[in-house]
Amino acid sequence: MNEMTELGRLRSEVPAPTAEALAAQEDRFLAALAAPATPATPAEQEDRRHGAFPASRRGRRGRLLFGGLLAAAALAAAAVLGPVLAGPGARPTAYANSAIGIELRGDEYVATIKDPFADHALYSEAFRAMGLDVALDLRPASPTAVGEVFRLGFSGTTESDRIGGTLRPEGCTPGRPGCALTVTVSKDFGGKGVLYLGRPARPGELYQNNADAGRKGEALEGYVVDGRPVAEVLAETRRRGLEVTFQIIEPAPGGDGFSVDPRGQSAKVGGHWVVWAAEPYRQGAVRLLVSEKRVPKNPVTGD
Amino acid sequence: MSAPNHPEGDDASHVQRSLHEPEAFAELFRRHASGITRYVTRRLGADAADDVVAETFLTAFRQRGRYDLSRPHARPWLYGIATNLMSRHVRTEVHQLRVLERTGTDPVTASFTDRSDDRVSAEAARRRLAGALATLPGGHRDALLLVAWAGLTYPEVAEALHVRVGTVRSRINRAREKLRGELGGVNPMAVVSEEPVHE
Repeated sequence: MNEMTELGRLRSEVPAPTAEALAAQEDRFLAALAAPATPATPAEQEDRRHGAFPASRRGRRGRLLFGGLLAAAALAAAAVLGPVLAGPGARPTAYANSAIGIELRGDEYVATIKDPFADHALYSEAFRAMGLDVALDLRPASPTAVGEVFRLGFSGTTESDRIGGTLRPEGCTPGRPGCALTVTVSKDFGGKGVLYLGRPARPGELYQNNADAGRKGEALEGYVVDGRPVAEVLAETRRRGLEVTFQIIEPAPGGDGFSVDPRGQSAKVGGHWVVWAAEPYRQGAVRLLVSEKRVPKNPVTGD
Repeated sequence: MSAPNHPEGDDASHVQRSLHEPEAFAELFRRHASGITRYVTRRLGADAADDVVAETFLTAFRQRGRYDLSRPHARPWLYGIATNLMSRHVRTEVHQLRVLERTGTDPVTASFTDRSDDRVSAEAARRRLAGALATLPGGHRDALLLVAWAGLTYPEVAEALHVRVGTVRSRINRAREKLRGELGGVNPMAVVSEEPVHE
């Protein structure tokens, strides 16, 4: 046996990643492909008004909004969808159950979420009844990300097929009467779609979105952490009665981006450490992205 | 998973398309993430691999404008980016190899399997091999493992590491000599194909 054969056997028991692990990675990746090239949506414009980081500057923490869907793309998530029941025949124009109501308005179906905490199967059932193969997956989100598209998946669609989510009326406050999470699907939507959409979080539930906690409507509204020492930011969070959790990041040597070592999170964060970003964590808590060393460029925002 | 309607076209065509339709880049992920994940996991363990792989594709995405579209296959490019990112973890990598050398327990594989008889019998060789890998210069280890574990050809390794093919050849030859020496020498008459053939 030669050394290359020996080497080939070393750690050969390391398996290929599971489908679930890859799907989770792909989720993260797609979420980060926040496309500056895709058309600005109402939700995105809303962000701009609120002074959020433009998606392209947020790097890996950007968000994917919706644009024309690509026929070729078959996302892993589409596999969770049920069988396609829609025939080529006429579709009904309205359907409702306890969780969701869908109606045809002009060129698009508008689905209004009545119960954001309902079993996801109820949403699918309603879309199926309309001849649409669309699945909704609602995830707990921080206040300004409710109604925001985390990610979408599609297959068998064409350029003209569109799917998206938002709050209606636009920019309304979730939880207020008349303010509803809605999903729109183009009338002739012919493929499979899955939409991950932010819903209000229950107390204690961790948010699954990334956002700027300084954004209007979030816990640190109006406060910019960018490069401040930890001690200073903690004074502000105490003033606002917020709990804090740290994520220790390692700025990339080239100044572009950062990495996170999951095993390096137990270090004691000092008051002189640098806070690069603050993100909503859960109700009453924010996550601070910190590093011990100061670098010239903010590794999180690229500014 | 995504197999039913796998888009046609080489990697370069998807990179090109992604310049206008960023989502098109997801196809590169679907084609290469599995192989790269396993490779990085094999070198660094599952914890670090998660981040390195995520970062690899994000870096590739950000640098896609610089991709040489005359190259149909993106594998060398992606492995090159992954290699670069892994260099930040060189101390972890060497430390884990040293642990394996000293104790016979491999931190990288500990979470995956219980020990098979086959591996126990090869214990001594494995430990010596790990020790030898740990002492290799980083560039030599990169070249050697891209061939042995990732299955890249010499020209692909050259492309991934931005060095000449001759450099790859000499790094690998020297790395192999070192390994051979540590393994106690093998039959000098054994003829091994220098450049593995890949489809």
